[in-house]
Amino acid sequence: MPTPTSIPVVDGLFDVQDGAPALVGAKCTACGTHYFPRRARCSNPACNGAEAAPVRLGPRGVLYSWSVQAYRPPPLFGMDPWAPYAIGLVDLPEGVRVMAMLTGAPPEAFQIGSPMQLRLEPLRVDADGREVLTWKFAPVAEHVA
Amino acid sequence: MAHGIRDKVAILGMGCSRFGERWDAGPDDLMVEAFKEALADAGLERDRIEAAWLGVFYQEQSTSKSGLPLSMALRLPNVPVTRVENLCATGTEALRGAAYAVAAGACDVALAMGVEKLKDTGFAGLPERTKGTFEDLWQPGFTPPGAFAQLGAAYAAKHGLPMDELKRAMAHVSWKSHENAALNPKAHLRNRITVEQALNAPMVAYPLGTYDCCGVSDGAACAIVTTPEIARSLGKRDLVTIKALQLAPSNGVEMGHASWDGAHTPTTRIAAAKAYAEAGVQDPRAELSLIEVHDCFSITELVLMEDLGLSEPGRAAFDVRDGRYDRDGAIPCQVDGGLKCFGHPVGASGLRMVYEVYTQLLGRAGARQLSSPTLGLTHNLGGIPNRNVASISILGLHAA
Ligand SMILES: [Zn+2]
Repeated sequence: MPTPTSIPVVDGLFDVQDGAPALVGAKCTACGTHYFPRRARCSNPACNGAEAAPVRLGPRGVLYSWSVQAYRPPPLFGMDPWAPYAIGLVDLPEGVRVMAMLTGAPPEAFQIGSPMQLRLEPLRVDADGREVLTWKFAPVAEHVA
Repeated sequence: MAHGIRDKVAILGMGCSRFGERWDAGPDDLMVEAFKEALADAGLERDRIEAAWLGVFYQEQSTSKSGLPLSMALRLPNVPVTRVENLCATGTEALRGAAYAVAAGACDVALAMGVEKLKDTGFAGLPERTKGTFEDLWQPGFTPPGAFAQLGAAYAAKHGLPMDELKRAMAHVSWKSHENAALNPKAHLRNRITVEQALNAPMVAYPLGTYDCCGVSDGAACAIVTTPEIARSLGKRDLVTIKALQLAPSNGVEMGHASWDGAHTPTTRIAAAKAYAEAGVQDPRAELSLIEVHDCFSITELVLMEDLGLSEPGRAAFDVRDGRYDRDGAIPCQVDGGLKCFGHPVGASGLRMVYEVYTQLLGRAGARQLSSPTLGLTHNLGGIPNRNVASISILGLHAA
């Protein structure tokens, strides 16, 4: 996964295989419900399954809704330098709806229903000079407004 | 369903502090301010309080997370105090505890208090508060405005409504609340605004501008509850009783799943259906005299009109602009000014809403008094649209 000069914002949220990033979620071994982020147990009220196994999700999805965060959130978020950024809800083929930062287009250019692609991008540089990577979704190239 | 809480508990007295930037008062002062009013209203000495529930969400830096702040501030030593927290439904959760205790016969008179002093946290919006180490780290900068704002684009897309039409309805929501708050001496933001002002305000999170967001305030509100029989024996003639108390947390799969309707708040629909059944409400549109809902943002209030079954799907924006939820409309909403103008001291908000319904039902609302209200609803939505607790109370005049 990340090169020695980068680290994930949180371990276990995404990985890279053969250069392709994917979100890492979980799939219930009994009912098949998917979750993001990963969890150890299914929480589907209609399921009695005990286990949920790690599974790669996406990496493509469809934009369900979006907004633009116009003020700087409280500090724990740790984006630096900060600038207003788009956020959105992306529906993945597995049935999961993921909230994510959006990238790859001006904030007001996002369109509900358009295909989106996962990307890893730096959120900040840490004290050791490493890029702290987070996951974002960008419009699939041919659909940029 | 079992018989439920309906008419088992009466409100003996209520109090509500002035909400605002209360640099003059600590949380204990705010509790005392609300409590004195409630005691005078109830016509009781404070030693009649047998148990208390304290709702506090953020403010542990000056109140701590125990029951002690209430015991000490209100001088109620050795009375059992349960401190509760359930996101934005925290105040209503305190009322639920007190009401259930009375209904169970565990005590005759109980107190529900909610307090929060948000301004002391020094942050302009809601302060940072841990949701657990992992949760904090993985959520990439999703503020409450950013999360709720997405109801806007999703609602517009789902119902085929142009965003400028939706924005105008959202502006009407906030304009209406400011009109109401101008008549309420306890509200924080008492200025009147125009729809144009709301439309042209700086963006906080598209499509939410400054006037689409509720204030950040300090405040406290409380209720003293007992049984209807005891209330009568104490000489109360007009009685407000609790008709329903319901709470619906997210179910597990709806959080983060495409099966969840991200243009609405499904938990509200579930809580509302249960609350209407518990209260015996057949037709909420005809029966509810007023409602106080969780207008953390204008778009939230708008979609809630459909979630509560008061507007047809896709029609809330039109009903709002037709004035249906104005003070002189068919179902007045936020007659006191709402979260919009009271701000949202989280622990206090639910009880502040109940205070307005109680005040209106007893005909004590002065310049903003509605004509002969008989039944009111309060609603809280804690969390974010896809991960929340929805809380509903229904209160009404009790037949003699
Ligand atoms: Zn399952």
